[in-house]
Amino acid sequence: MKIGFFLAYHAKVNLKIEGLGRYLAKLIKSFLSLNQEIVIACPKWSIASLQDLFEDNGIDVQAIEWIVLQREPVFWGIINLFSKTEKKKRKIRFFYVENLIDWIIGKIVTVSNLFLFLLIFLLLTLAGMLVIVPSIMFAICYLILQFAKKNAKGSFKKIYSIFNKIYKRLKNKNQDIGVYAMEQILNFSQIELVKKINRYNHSKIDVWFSPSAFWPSFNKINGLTVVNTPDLVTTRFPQLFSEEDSFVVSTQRVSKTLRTGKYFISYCEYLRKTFLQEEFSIEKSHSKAIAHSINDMSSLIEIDPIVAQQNCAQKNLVTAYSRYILNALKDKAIGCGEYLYYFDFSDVNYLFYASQYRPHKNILQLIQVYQYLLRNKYKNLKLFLTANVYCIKEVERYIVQNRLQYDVICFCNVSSLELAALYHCADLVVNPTLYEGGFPFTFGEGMSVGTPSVMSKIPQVTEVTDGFDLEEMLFDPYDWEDMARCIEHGLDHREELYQKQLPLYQELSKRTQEVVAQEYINAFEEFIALEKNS
Amino acid sequence: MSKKRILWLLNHTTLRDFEVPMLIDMGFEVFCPKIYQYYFGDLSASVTFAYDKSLTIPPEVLEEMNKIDFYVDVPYCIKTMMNQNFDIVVFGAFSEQVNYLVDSFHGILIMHAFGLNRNNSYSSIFATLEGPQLLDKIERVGGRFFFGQAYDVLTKIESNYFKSRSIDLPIGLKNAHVNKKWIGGDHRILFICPKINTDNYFRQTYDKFLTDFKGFDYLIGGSQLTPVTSNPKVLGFVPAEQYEYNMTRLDVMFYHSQEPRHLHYHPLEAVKNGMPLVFMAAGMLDVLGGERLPGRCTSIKQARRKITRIFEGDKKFIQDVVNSQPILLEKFTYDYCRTNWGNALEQIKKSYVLCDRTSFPLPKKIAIILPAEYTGGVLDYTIRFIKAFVKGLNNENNASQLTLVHFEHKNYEGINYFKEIKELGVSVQKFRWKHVNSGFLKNYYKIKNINISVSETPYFMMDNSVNYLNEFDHLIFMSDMMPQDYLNFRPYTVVAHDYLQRYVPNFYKDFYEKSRLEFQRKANHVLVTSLPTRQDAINYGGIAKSKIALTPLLFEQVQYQEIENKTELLDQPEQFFLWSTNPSEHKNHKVALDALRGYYENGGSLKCIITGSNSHFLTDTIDGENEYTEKIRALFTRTSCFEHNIYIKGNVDKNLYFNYLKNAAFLFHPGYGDNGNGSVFDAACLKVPSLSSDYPAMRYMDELFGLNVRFFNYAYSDELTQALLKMEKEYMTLKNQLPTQEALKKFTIEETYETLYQTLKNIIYF
Repeated sequence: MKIGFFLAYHAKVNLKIEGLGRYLAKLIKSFLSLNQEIVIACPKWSIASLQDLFEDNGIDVQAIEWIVLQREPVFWGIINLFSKTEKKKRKIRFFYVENLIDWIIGKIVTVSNLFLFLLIFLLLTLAGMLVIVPSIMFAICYLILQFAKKNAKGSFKKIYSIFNKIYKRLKNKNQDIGVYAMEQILNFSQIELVKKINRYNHSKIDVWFSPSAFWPSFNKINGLTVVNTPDLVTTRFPQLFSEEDSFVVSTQRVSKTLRTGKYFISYCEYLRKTFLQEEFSIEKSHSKAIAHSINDMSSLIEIDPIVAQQNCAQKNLVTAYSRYILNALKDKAIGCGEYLYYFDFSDVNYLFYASQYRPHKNILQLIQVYQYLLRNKYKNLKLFLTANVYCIKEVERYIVQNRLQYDVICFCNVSSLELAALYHCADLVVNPTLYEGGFPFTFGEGMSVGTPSVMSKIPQVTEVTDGFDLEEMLFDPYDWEDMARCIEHGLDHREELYQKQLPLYQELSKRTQEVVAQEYINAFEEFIALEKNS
Repeated sequence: MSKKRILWLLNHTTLRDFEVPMLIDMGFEVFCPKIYQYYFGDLSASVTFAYDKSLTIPPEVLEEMNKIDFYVDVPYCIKTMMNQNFDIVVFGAFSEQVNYLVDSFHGILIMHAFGLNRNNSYSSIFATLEGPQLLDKIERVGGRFFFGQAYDVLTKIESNYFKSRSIDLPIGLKNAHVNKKWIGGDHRILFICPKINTDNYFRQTYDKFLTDFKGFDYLIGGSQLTPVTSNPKVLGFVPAEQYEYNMTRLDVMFYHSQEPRHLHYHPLEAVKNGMPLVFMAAGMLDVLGGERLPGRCTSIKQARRKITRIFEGDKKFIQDVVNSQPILLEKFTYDYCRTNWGNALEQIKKSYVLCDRTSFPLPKKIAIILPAEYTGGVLDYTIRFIKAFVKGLNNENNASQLTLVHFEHKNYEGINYFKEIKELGVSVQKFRWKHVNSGFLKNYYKIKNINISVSETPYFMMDNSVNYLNEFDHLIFMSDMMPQDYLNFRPYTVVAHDYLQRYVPNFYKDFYEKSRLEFQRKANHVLVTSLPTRQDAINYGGIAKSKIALTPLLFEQVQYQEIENKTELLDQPEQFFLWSTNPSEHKNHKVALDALRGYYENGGSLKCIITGSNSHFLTDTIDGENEYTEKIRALFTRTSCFEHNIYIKGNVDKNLYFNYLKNAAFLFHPGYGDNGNGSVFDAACLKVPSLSSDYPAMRYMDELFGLNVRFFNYAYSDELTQALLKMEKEYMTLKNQLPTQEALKKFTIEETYETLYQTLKNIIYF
């Protein structure tokens, strides 16, 4: 079978460090190992990130057929150029510019001829004007894009907000200029990519697959299209997502994809039923629920057995190695200032939750429960997160007001290796989420390196844990006391919990990536047959 | 003269295979360590028992030493064994190891230096990692220390002291002569790059190699800690046959390193086998072979060209490369090394006279420091600490000297707080904080010729009007209340009492106590007095478990004289309970006062006596008045039922306090978050039960001493009211459930000083 992947990711997405990147790489690798042909259609800006991801996962880039959208907006090109040169500029400033400035100042202040001095002054003023005007233009473009990415700070933020207010007043609608600009760029790339695909000899491709539902244009491809639609959490919890304009846009996109698409794959039966069939009236036969395989992290910190044997003197080399990795993680921590300088991670105890910050991840509740456990139940440990919770004002305020910034530590942009080490050394993995597209990865990630989990009792979880007698690892994510009780129990019975979770982990491990890939192929075949008969 | 014995405290396999047999040939007995864990998985390291037979030390000593990891601080008895049985120690630049060796080994110390990357010198690395103190300590070893440089270029960038103490100890290679085994024919580059996934330097080296030699076929040797699964050409550990094949059949080895002061073994292995070596210029190989070797390349482009010629079978070029490179081995031959080592060891002989192996360990001068103006609990603890320490010294007739050095402050004027310890023979000094700017530190390093960048902040030093405390061998700080950027020249230990700020957010609010935590983290050792605080030190203090020592709480049996002139309530025994408090927020006044109101409103009949430093803040303004004290005072004064039930006695002297305690129905402790309240021990000694907040430090004391304390949840006043009412009914019964005086005596200084003393003895080695 020849499977086309439609990948219209945002230019700045670094797939190598994103969970979705790992999922994509595993799926493609398994398709290739099952002798399927792979075509990838993507904008030019994704090539480097994808190739990097594939190389990292041992995928032969040459074995893939590429359809690349070469065209990109000039505006985007300029902005990219601007941000790419940032690092180089900094170097230049340090090593050359400072000396150059000193040299120029030295020369100017020692000019003894009045005429020459005035001439230099005039020339410098002219040169300044020539630089300033284009710089302002440049800065405006840059600001818009920075804001679309929510990176701007300080005075930039103020300037931007003035722009934005004017824009909103003129447009009479509640949408940020940055969000709008980014939206337009992404739309452009999708539409152009679809056009390019349709110009391609598409008859050769049996099925087009989109791993994300954010690209409604995908359904305009002339051929059989299948979309991965995990969930639409924003409509399930609108109050949690109404503060930001970008969620409105993404919701509209997913809704449009669902309305215009025909065949879908979800990650669990619960969502296939409630979301695809009930909410969007997708015909039962047009959807499949295919759960993920577990994300086994053990190989990342596994020690070469011969080396381990040589190092027999050291009892647990994996732990020593993982702790060594943690000690080097300080630079990735945010929010705690200088607190981690000279901090020794060799023996530190902590609860761990690996997740991006999303409103439905219930992280503030987790932090409150953690505070209760630390200060009222005297559980002597820290809370490590991989989300940047400081980007959310309420959470930041809560942390600082309660002086938790030195115990709730956020490590951002951690690599797979660092993630594996964080899981391995944790006392307990906690997942307090209100809603997921499927059974959370955190369980398998933790168990694969020896750490048990406690997690929210939500249908996406119970559909998997039922029958394994694991009630004690589940809590009601809306009830903080229940969460506290469950975590406390988990900490006090860590080994017991690990043993009890092992049968489930072993069962889930049987679903290797090849099994999952085969289920995708079967689903595609079924959809092709349906399409032929329709 | 009997054979000299050497402790050769390294585990590098190739190095050991060469040096240890050579030393044995030269007439030494050599001990090699059997346990190592420096830098997890040092892949060139291993363990051997093969040289144990060279030793004539008692078998039980050898057996003990074989169980020890010599890379971290070793137990006292091992230090003694080392001193009793060995004359020389050879070690690498591992700072923890260097630290304890210079403190405790009384023979000859040879730091074997193999060269660092870039322009890093050993002295600058030590100064960066440990501040001035480690180098200062090494210098104090004087003529017994030697800087054993593997290449004579190393000392060029070292400190004056390392320069003047340098000896040449060239590293050698077993069978360092050319044995033309190489055949070639396999058109691949052999590149050695270990630890790709686990070491940044090698990761970058690997990535650079792949980029530089794109288009060339290659194999990558070197052990990998974690397998590099993404590239099958990275071999990891290989069996002997494969190793043999790589070294004899692959066309060429490429050596990348341009480090001017460090060399890996593998290019020499290639030379030994007669394998063409193409290498980059400007590294150590230039020092060994000059700049004219045909395999030498000044650019990657040139290297690619030369490798292409070899791949193409350019016989003349191959011959040129192979025939010219044996010069690289000259300084690695047995004869060359033996001669140099012989000369160096002759030089060392002159220092034997400095090694006094009969009077070790030497007595030490130890300063016990009160860094701030304490008069309460910390001062009490300090006095008890000194008493225990002196008791240990006296018991062993140890001549080490203790000096108490306290911060000069008006608190210490007018009252002779230190009378008791002066009577024990401990001298007392005072110090002032002195500011110096970064120029001071820069000059200090310049005097020593150490090239290091210094942060541009003002520093604080302790000025005792003599030599900034440098006359002491070790400093013990009784608290971590230090100014930011304390400039330390001596090894030190610090007592971490508690981490209240972790449990009482308002204690510091948004202030980060950097000076305290960094002072602890940089300490050589940290002392704690309870297990919960130990856990806080690890999880909040960020201190490695290995640096923390748990020491006894050092209680004293209560001694007091009954007051004849009975004041208010003392004539009514057990008609009141005692609450000792101060204005700190963790004393939990709000909950306690709400609970007391509930207690009296619900018929509680016992009065409450309040004592403690500044405890009169409940009714009067005090120095250091703040929002909190005002709020609590308002609460106190508007509660009418307190007027006839609560008696505030304030800061009473110890004797009166014990009189109150002795006559109390029970002791009341509603505070939380600290290292526990030792008053419960005093109360038990006086047969008075206690009612306390439930938190780990109090649970720890309760369990340790078997006190049968009654606990309540400190967060809820209604729960506390009920606990008080219940306590009123039960205190009589509880009195009978307290431990006996004999049982309590086990935890007093008299019985526990030895534990503290042994801990300090091992830390300081005296």
